[in-house]
Amino acid sequence: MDTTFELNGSMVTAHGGVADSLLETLRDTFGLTGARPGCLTGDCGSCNVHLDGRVVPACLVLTPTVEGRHVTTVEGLADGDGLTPLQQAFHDHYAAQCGYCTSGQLMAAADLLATCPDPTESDVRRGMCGNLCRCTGYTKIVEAILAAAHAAGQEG
Amino acid sequence: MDSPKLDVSDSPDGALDVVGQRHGRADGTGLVTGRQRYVADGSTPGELHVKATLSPYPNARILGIDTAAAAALPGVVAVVTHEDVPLETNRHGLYVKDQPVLCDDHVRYVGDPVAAVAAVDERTAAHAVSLIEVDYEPLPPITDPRESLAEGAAEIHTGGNEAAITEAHGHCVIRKGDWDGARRAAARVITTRHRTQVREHAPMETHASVAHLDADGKVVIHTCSQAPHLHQLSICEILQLPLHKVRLVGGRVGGGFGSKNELLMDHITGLLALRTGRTVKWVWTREEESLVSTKDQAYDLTYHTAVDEDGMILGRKVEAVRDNGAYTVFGTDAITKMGCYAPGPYRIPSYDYDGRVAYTNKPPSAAMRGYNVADAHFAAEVHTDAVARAVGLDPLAFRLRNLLAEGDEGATGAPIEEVTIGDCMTRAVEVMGWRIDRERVVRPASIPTSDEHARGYGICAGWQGVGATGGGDPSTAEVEVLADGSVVVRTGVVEIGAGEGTSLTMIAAEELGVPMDGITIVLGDTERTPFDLGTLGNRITWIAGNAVRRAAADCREKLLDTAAEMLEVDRTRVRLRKGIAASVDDPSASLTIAELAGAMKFGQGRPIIGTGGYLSSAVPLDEATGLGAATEAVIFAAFLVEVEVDCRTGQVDLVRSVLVHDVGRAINPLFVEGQMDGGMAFGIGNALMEEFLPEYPSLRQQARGLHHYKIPTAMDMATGHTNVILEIPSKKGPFGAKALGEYTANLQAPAIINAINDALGTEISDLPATPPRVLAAIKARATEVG
Repeated sequence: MDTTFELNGSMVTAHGGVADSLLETLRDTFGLTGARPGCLTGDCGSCNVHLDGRVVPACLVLTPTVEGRHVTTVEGLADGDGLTPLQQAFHDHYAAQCGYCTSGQLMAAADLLATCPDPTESDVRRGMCGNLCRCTGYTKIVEAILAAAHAAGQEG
Repeated sequence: MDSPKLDVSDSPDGALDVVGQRHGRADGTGLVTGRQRYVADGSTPGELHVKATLSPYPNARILGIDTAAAAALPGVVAVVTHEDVPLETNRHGLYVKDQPVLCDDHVRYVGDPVAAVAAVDERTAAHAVSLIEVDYEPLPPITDPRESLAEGAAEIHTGGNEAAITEAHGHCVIRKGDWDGARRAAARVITTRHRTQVREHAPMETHASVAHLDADGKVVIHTCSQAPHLHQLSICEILQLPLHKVRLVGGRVGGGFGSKNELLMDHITGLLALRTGRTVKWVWTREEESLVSTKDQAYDLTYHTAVDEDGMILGRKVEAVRDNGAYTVFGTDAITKMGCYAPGPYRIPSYDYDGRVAYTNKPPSAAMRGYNVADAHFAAEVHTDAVARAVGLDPLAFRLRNLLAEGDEGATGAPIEEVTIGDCMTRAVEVMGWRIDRERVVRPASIPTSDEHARGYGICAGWQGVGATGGGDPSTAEVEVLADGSVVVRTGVVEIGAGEGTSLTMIAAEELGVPMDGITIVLGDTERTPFDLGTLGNRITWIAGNAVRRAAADCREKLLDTAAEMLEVDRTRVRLRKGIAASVDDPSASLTIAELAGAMKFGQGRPIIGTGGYLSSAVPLDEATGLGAATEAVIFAAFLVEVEVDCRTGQVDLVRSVLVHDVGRAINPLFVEGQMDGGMAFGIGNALMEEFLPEYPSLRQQARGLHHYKIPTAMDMATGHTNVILEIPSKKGPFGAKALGEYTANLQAPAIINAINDALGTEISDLPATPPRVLAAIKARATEVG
């Protein structure tokens, strides 16, 4: 079946099975491999994307249900070749080690900062507890998010 | 090969230009844009997908395998069983070749692969697997190592259920000094027993493998292996092909932790690519990862310590049983490494070790970060607290009295140099703000009621060697200058997330004398990189770093020979720094590396390739005594923690903690911090949460994915934690660096359990200390006292 939706700012149509997950569609049909399978059960956050501006695990979203809606992946966070302040902060603070969970972390963090622009460390840890990372121990991820929030706050 | 001078590079004042900087990841942008590709990312039109028949039984004979229906299913291109394996024996293994490529007569754990299907898509492959009929004759499984080692137990492997380690004794033995004498002379002998749990690595990237044949029929496998060069050897034996007909392209792994040290997929995708002539892709679901992949081992450890009247250790005896699971994999090596670090970083004149490896019908216990040394630390340090309590000494005071000192013998009799455990402990104590009171015994004054929170302190002193035990872990590297003066480093090492690529690039840039933006690195491709054993065993900085450094030095020599000629100065009067070769006496007499490269390649027709290799000086242990220099260097660390236990729920929080690692020299302090942070998470999971088999040794409730197997989240981390990077340079490590990555996860569990026991007056001696176990211990203590 066909599903037409907005993907990273452009209208697209996916031709696939009725039970295709959004994660499969993004990766296999559109070649957007930033969202990654970590568990396929919504436990790890590695496949996070934004659906109508809110973070969701793409592995648990059926593609037909995004008909007419807005999907943003990590590839669509920045304009062109630049990095968003959040991505830059992740890079500067060494928040990515193996990098496999990083896309999902960024999508969750972007959602967190959109809804809570001036978070405490506790807010960040709570907001990010749906994203598993086996490498970093989370310290520098939290630092990066707080740094990005602070920088955005300064810009006013 | 001569080792070049290992002192600081050519800069006149000895200053370092690159090493020591908080340099960002050279490969960092791809990680934050989502553009970095892992093995499972991307697809080839017409690729086939793999699913495997996995044994549903922990122990069974295979009476027959019928793949006809599966092979006939539309969309199925190939079905393979043991009959299709080119290697006639159908057995592989690094130390003991006992693991089938695909099971033939016997399955030995739930998940043991029996057949594999390549089909046009995953659903068809899965359907085909359901049509494969395997006639199993189930047999009673043995999951308890004690049962497996008992007289008359049914054999899991021909020849018995215990791995043969030495010819002299059978099992692994270390005999240093005179334990019997120590025991008899002792004022007291304290004995404790400890059990560690089976854990999963749970990397975020599950295993993935993509194989195809190139235009000339060469097998090309895109691999998530931590050791592509090593695995290439096994794959070639299995496929009966020479090395130059099989290429492993690795380099980028989404988390390893040891899970990707063994051959689990690549030999089968390679086989299917040969059979089908097409691209074959296999990606495990999280459930398959849990089921099939190797695990961290459970240990049963009994420690005895003989102490004299003054609380000095006269001797220590350790009995270890490693639950090895179904196949040997690394078991025979692992039990030896356990023996080398089991006693802890103390002066121990007499040491007896008996280590046994037991096969059981469970997933093979191979290598997980810490590689048995984490279990050693746990038992040694919880035992040492028990010894301190028994002799009436403060646990810190007791340790300081007995701490290893410079030149003392290690567990295997070789004297240890550059002993810095005292420095690590002193620093940790300083940062925690503790005072040392030699006569004070720390115990809670009252039994905690269910309304109370209890606080306690715990210590862990740590030590670990670099590289593989007994040596034999080479690394070789190349550094090449291209025609425009840009530089490429080539090494068989892979990036598993610790910044290996950037660190090695920094070492090369420093040694060669070029800026970071003029140099890149090629990792883990058996066709393009020279041999390295793999990203494992705490060896990248020391062993691979030294190889890269030598290759860079070799390259620099070639450049400077030409520069001296061209500048008409003496060879000793010219230096290469920041990409410019200049006369020391007249800096205006200089050549850029680009000019040198052009002159050498086009003017002289010479390649500009520096090569280097490194092999640690470690030697295998003596067969009969277990003595010898098992490692080239031992590195030290310390961890102190204050915990708060909620006596109503059994929840344990880390209130304050300090982790001190002596890294010799931090090649990149940012990466060192990252490893320490990551190690904290691993250690907390080990101490408080993680259990692959909650009803060990039974398989009941075996974890099947991240829903069941709980690993720490951002909310589970320590709140008041401090990392301390100590830099006491080594003589042999690159620029004085030592080792770190694997090691940072070893110290937390022992100290946390010690702290819980201190808080509660309990004697928890096993892992993990989950809330129900903590509550049970509180109850038991109340009963005991009341």
